[in-house]
Amino acid sequence: MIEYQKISKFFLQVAFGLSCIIATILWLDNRGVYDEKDADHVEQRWESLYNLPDSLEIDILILGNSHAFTGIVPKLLSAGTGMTSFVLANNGTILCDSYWSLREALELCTPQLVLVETTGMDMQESKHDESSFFVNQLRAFHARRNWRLKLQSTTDLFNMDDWATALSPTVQNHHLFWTDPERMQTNIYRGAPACLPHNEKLYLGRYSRFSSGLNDSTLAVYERQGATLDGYDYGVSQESAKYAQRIMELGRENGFEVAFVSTPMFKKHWKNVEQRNLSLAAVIDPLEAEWLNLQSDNLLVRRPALYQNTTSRNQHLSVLGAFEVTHKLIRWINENETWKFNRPGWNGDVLWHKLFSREDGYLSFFPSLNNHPGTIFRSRKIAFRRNTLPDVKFSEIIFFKDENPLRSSIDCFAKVYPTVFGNQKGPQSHVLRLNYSFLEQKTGETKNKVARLYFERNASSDSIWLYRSVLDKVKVTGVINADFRAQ
Amino acid sequence: MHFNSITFGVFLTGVMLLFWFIFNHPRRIALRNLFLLAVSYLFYGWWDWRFLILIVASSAIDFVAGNRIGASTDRKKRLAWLWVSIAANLGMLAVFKYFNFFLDSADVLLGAMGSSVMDLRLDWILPVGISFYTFQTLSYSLDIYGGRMKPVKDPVAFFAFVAFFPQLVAGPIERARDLLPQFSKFHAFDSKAVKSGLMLVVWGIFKKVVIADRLALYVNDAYANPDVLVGPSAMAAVVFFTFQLYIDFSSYSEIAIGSARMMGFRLSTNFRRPLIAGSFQDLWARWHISLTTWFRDYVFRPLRNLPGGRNRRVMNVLIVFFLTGLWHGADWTFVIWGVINGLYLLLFDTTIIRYMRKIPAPFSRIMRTMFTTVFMVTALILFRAPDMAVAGEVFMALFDWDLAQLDVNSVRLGMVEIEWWMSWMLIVGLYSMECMVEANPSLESFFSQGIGLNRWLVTWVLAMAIILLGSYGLNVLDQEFIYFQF
Repeated sequence: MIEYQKISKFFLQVAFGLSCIIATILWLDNRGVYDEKDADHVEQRWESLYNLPDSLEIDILILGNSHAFTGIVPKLLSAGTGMTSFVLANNGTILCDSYWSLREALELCTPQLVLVETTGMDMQESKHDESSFFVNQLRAFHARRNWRLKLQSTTDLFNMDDWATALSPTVQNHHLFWTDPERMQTNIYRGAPACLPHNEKLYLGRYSRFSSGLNDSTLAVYERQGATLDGYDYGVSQESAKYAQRIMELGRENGFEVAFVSTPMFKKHWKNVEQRNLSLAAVIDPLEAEWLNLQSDNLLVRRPALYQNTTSRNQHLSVLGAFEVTHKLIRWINENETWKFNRPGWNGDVLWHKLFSREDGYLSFFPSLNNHPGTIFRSRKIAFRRNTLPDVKFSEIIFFKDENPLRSSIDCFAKVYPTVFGNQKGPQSHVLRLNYSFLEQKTGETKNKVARLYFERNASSDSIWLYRSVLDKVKVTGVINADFRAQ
Repeated sequence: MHFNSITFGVFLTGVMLLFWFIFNHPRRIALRNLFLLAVSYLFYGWWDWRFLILIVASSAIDFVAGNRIGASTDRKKRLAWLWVSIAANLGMLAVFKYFNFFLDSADVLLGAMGSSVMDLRLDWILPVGISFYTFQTLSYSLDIYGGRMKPVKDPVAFFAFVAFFPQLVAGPIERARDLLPQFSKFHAFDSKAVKSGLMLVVWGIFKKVVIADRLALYVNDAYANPDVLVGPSAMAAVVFFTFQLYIDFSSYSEIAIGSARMMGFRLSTNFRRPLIAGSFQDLWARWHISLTTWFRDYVFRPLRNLPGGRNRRVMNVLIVFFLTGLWHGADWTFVIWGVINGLYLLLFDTTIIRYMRKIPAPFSRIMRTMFTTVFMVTALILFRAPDMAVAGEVFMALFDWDLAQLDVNSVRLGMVEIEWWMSWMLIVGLYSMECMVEANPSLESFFSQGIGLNRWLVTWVLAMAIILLGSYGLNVLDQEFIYFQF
């Protein structure tokens, strides 16, 4: 005779025991005893997405890995397209991660265009054992906040053995007991640390890392060792192809366009790059999606200054490269006639303009706001007698208060219509000398001063060149004169 | 699928539910065995399904050979079928485990003559558990040939016996005559046994994850950088490795025994407090018992029974220990380790240990245990070292006691202070527990029943200790059981 009652009782006891263990872990998770949150850009990105002003809708969502968040400047892209752009990318992210991030983002916003940066579309798949990859995947997973979607995605992203590590900070960071007991003590007595918000008021997901480009010694390495990557070694995993398809399906279901963007690496970084392009095309072409492959842009890939100073496999864009690439992206989006987007920036959405009016690139694409509270002085009717370059025409000269009230400085911008600098190398080879008048507070007298403004290559567009300088805080009363001098 | 993984937890829970609620029925024993066979193959195939072919082949050959040996009365035919079984099982071992080792050794010899056989090296991985299941299935043919058991007619029961998942990949190496009959019986649900099995599983995981894997961090560091070792750190490394090895392997056996017990199967004891052994013979009667008794029954005794065999004890012992070393790993370090242990047994048990027995108790026992342990621990340097050079460096470092030059912090290698002291406390605690049980064997049931506390409470405490204090996760890459590699 089988004693089912006894058997059931045993299994119920086991279930109860397991529940006690899980309850204890959940309690520890909830108390944040093992939390390690800090000023981490992955956390901050989600923090920002969850706390965006109600008036702001994300119009362009950029998915990808570090190549996306270092290589695309969302504020410039927003200014250039008139559509709010957000980079929702994490280190080492593969397309499976991006898909689930997009699912969560769709609960917060309704993008019109989703751009998928393709560097994460390679042979890497979820659930493999490389620890650095796993750490990145965990960071991205932890930063997400929608528990329903996190649970749904767990089986896609992690091996069964890693589920507990993924879902519970206690399990993941249990080593703190040995390695950082002070942190645990702090967590116990002061509560779990909250994610520190990003220092930018409007954070759209950019994480800039590489300020300088390839230098001569690094370039010499290419000469000695040849290319780092070979197109014949490149492939797109079946998993990446599957999730590219799924992202397309999400686009159809939710009414947004999906397009692919390949940010470039230095030309000598790749050999047989056409093979890599073919591999990507084999996945993207059947999806009938638009694809901007900047690795095929011959001008872009030849400029060492645009790339991180390394020959290692994972070469990113430098800050300068990111701005250049973003300008290309802006042109590509704006010139695409099949896309019919609602662009708040172009439709004169007042709240949108207020949010972006002091951000990267705004002044290159839009006139400064008439009623901007930070404006100290603005001049739009500019004709100087002593202009050394008669062809130069100014669009605007604006003096803004510094947004940080603790700093006693002002920001001065001069917007110039592109022109020809004779036989010189271009706008960056000249400094703009601006003679302005201001009211001296002590004496009440009006005085004149000369400021030197430098070309802002990154923020300038095809139609506007921007010159900028930071000056001591004064009450500017007028602009008297301006001329260009070769540097 | 490792015993110390969530996957195994889910797997075992599923197997238990199906086993007790559906398949374990007095009228469905064949179906139950088929179920056990299927889940055992699933367990093994989770690692690499291609190597299931080897298990199936080994099972099939021994099932046929066993039946032919049992059915025949012709000695020549019986011997021929026995050789088929031996050749097939040892052949598999030779190809998959020892081929490259033999080749490397041959290459060293041939190198002196200017030729090489390295082109013949096989780029194959070692199938997990091959040393265990080939010995287990071989014991079946040997027992039938020796008249110690009759062949089974039920192929499913036999295949399930060979592949029985709790002990498939790292033992205990069960004898067919002990385990096989359990496959033909109905197992009534014994709540006490099932609960004690569960506790043994949790205890085994606790020992593995909390103690052995923590010691492994230090040991791995020490053997990877033998040049930084000085007397104290070298001593810590060899002591830690001894405990790591013992705890790692005994915990695997405990999880195996516990898992089997939860389904009503009884597996043999594999370790009986070996670090308290009072002589080298005693040590090998306590350490990896299922392997040493296998060699005793199928190698040592047949050698002794050969004409004049009783007069060749030294040779016979050395052959057994040579094979024991070789069984552990295809490397000369293992072979030398085996032979050294044979020499210990031959040299010390009959001399020093014998004299120590004359000292009054308990000093005699304490001295014999200390003597045995010191030599055993030192020999294990060869077991752990990747090659002879590292073994030599670690051994020499044991004698480097220049305390004036000693940096106390460097002795801990990469361990933080709390980790270092906790490691010592855990091994001292475990050793003390074993000493107490050795002195008073009735304490074993006291410990196994939860030291007088509610068993569920003890299990909860152990489980929380595993989760919160265990050595696992992102920065701990090597969490496999040591004996998996054999």
